[in-house]
Amino acid sequence: MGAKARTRAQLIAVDGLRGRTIARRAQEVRRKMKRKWNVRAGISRWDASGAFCDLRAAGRKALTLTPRTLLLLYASDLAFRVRWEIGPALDAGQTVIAAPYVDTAIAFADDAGLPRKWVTELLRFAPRAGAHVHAGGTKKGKVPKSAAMAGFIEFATVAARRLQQRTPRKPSTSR
Amino acid sequence: MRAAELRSLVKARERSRGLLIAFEGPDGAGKTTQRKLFKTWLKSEGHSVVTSKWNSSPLIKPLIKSRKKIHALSPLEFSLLHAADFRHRLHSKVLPALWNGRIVLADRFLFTGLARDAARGLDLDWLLHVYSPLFWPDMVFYFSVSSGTSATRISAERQPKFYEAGQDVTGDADALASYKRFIGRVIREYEALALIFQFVTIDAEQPMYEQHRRIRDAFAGESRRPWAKWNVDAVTEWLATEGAPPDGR
Repeated sequence: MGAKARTRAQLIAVDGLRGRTIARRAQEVRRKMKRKWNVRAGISRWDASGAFCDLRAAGRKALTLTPRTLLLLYASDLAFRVRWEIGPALDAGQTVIAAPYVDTAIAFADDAGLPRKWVTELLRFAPRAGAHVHAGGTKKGKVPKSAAMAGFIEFATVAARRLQQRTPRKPSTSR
Repeated sequence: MRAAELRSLVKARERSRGLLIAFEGPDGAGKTTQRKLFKTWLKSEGHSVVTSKWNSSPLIKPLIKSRKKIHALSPLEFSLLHAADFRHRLHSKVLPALWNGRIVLADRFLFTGLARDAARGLDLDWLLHVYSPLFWPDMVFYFSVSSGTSATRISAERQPKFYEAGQDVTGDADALASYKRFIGRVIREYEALALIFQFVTIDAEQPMYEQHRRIRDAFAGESRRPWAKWNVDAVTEWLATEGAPPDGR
């Protein structure tokens, strides 16, 4: 395609296990699109709706959300992003990089032992991406509390740790 | 713990667990009044009772409230945030209380989400999926009123709020006119759910005490839905992620 600008709307999904890696990769993709095809692409980022930021800012000690609840919140944030960022960009014939997108949620659901069918159906409202970029990253290593807003996986990891700290080791069987 | 162990825990808890009783119906049907009367009576009979209201998760309610205030929610976002609120309450309040043998009275339950969201045009099959694994109450009392009665009762006290009136989907600037249109759709959805999910229908246009007696009678002949058959997925997921609370929590 050379340096000629692409005019067709395109959705590129960037997914991975670390928020900062996803953000970095999204910037790289954007730069590459500009350099190679002279395409200006916008980036749609996690928590555009501010829901997770509000949860974090509330600073509630009892911030203990289960994986399914976290995914419902992720879905509501993604619905917001589709309505205000992804959808309008595609409608205007522009290219948009969704970082993160559906595969990040699927990876989290797999890790949490939730059925993949549930999460794919939950997010079926999200337009299909034309290209997928895997940002990589690993879940190894402890996520510090201060990194909770780096990305969805980090937020969920911190929440899950708090949940485990509160959870008794063995379910009570008496009565 | 393995899935089989969790399932056997659920089965073993069946006899000592509490009952979940849901109060459903359109606004202005008198659910809250009846729920309070019933709670008082249950306590007088020596039962330990907990109430869980719709959209009351201390974590998620503030998110919803602030976004409702500026009319910022689409039907999809509205639905997903309420589903998150529901799941958080189910895991943090409803299931721990039931596990410890307490009766939980739910002032609206998942059927509220289903009826309102379907009235907003969302697909019922998708909604059932969003709320899955479904957690079935032992009994659902559906307070049946006409849309006219609901609108009259609501407007006697206050102006319907933006989302309550369905103004986000009707586009009608007149809140009461919008409410009348929207609540009709909600009632149609409720009536379909009442048939499918076998609600106990209470004629909410009857005198208050008649309704209360009907609820007591239905409770006396209660049949619980065995968790092992109806709710095993929801309860085992909760046990796996949160663990059962210590007795008496």
